[in-house]
Amino acid sequence: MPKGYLCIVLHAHLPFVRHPECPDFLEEDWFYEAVTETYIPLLLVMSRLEKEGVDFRLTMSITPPLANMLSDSLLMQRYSKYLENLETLTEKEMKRSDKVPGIKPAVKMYKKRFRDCRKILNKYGGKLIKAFRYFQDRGSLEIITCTATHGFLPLMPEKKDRRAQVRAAVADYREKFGRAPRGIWLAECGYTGGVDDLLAENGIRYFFTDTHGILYGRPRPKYAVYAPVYCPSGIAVFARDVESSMQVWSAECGYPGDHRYREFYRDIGHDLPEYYIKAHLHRDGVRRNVGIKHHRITGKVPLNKKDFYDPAAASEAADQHAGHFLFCRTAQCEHLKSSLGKTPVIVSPYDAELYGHWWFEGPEFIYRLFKRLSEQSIIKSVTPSEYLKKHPGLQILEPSPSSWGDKGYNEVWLNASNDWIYRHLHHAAKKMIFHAEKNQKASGLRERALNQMARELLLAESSDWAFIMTTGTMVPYAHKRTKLHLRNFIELEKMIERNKIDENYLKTCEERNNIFPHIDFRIYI
Amino acid sequence: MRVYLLSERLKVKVTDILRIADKLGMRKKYAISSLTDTQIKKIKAEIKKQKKLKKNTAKNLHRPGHSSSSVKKKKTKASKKKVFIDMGPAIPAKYNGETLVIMPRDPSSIFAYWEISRKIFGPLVLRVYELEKSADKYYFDIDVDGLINNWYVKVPHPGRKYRSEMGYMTNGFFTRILSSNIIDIPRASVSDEADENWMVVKEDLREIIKESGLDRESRSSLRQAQTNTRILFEILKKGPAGGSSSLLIKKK
Repeated sequence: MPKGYLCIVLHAHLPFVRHPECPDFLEEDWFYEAVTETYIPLLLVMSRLEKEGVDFRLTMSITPPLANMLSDSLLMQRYSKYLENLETLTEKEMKRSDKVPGIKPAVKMYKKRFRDCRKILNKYGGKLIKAFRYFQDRGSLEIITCTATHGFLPLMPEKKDRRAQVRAAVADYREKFGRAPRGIWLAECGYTGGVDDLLAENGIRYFFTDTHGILYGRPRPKYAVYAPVYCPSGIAVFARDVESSMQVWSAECGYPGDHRYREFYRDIGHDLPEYYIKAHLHRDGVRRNVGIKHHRITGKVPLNKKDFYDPAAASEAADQHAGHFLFCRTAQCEHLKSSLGKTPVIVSPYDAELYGHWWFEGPEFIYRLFKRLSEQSIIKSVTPSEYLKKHPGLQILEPSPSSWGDKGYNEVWLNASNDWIYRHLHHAAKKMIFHAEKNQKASGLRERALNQMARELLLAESSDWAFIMTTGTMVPYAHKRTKLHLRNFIELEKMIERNKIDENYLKTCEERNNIFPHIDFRIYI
Repeated sequence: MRVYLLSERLKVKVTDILRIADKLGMRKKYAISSLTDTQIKKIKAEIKKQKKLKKNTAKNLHRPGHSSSSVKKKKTKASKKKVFIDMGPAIPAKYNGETLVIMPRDPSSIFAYWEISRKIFGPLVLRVYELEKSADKYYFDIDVDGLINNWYVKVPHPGRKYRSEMGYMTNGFFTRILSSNIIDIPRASVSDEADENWMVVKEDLREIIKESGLDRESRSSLRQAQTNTRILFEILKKGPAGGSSSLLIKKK
């Protein structure tokens, strides 16, 4: 009997960014970088664990926009090109490393990394989503879904609008993973009363909230956040553990700040002379990160005083940190078990992109952690479904409306920088519901137009745009995307009202914003 | 003749030709791509006129008395390239409907937006109701007259339900125009509600909060953890007089 359960959740999400109209679109790089640094490395870690016979349990939410991007042929083709660029650049770096021996170990590591990426890409025929599905079918990975376009439910007053976000997600999950999702990651952990009923309607068994979602629940939680609870609707809720979150998340005292780890802000895209690097930048020639970095954090020194990166030392650090993490969990669980009189479950959710993209050694840390977990029996890794199967009896309470954003509520997505979007989003949602009900029997072109309206509305509702407007970087793009989808929606709606559909216009929209290829607008009824 | 052919022949930009065509009222509903002969004649004449005008203004600028530096400045200003930032297409500012929607922002504030198309006969007022057991408990008014169409409202009690109405005041009477949705404001503290085992739970909770690291403010870089800690501490520090503990005394 273990003294505690550990439930690691990686929330993998990117907004749907796909621009077929432009061959060299800057924001698409978010996706390519995340594939190279996070998604493929995580797959590599899982196959390494599988090969070594390590029994592990990992939970991942792959949001529908990300799942759609990972199975989109255009984006994956472009990714292959992106990788090719890095491969040729690494060859050049190999030659350069003869003159600059300090970078040699790092260059070798990059060469191997990119070769592995290529291997995985070829193995699954460019459809990375299949690779994740493979590990889910094996039982070590549990993939959960998310609101359809990462829509933030607490700021959608229309119940049918919220419901469509859940329905579209569930339908898409079935299509991608061949079964119904057991759990959901509510975008930004945004919970408000009534959301659990929608989940129950759609066959979902559990979701996650931030710590105070349960801590402030009514009545009080008997075991604080160390045991899941049921909403009155019978949906289970798991809440975030603060301590384990901070060990990884915190910028000052978290693991990713160790001096042996790779420095994110020194990139050869900025460091090397123009004649050398220009061919590998975007067409506009502006210097940006290319993803090859040769320095380590070193300490609190200016960027130009950083030492060279040593991959071996960095993975040793990852191993030490995995050891420390497990030690802390052991102590935590032993203590909790004696004071609670119950085996606690520690829920540690993180943004997946933190592992690999921001914290380069993150995937290695995961590997070492699971390896160490398999060598002891005090702490056991668990997936939420597995836990619920073993412990079906839970306290019933009403969670408190909350999110995991700054300050814990809705302010990140509702402030002076982005509050203007809601009157438009809500108007569009009302119109969508109205037309869906009125046109239930629509077919042919009319049905296609209604389906596209649903896609445009869902895309406009991505919480990412409001989030970007708050954070203040790439703001024009967020404005553009919000308005673009709303404009498309309004135009299509006009066509439906006049019963005169411009097929060219519709086709352009369908080709560009092709998320959810099999969507049915009747999810809004 | 096609517009781009004409532009090549006259060495005038396509956009300039289109602008002139617009000015002469040749464009009706759709953008024009080809021009008739009479239209071309008119356009040619217009271009000549404009060239003359330009020459005259240029002469005026070079008249003695004008300092040359100011001319130069004007020129450099005009030639400065404007950086185009794509903020997306235009969307309607209004939908010619009547709506009033409120949304929760945090335990102490809500956001309201509205649109009114009808005529009103007095200053506009936003009336916010707090509900108890789905009945109005009390309300307060906020003066929102003018050109604004949204407002952040401070609300006194976390964890309650709120709704609002919009109307105008005439001779001290409130005339309702619109009614909003009902929302739940998040709670900001541990619930008072508990069963017979309440005390044990409380003791446990205090310990668990300590163990979970929620109280170690110095270590938390997470804003959320800090907020949680602060709020929790406020509640736990409160003596028997306020908040959760009063319930305990009554029970005893």
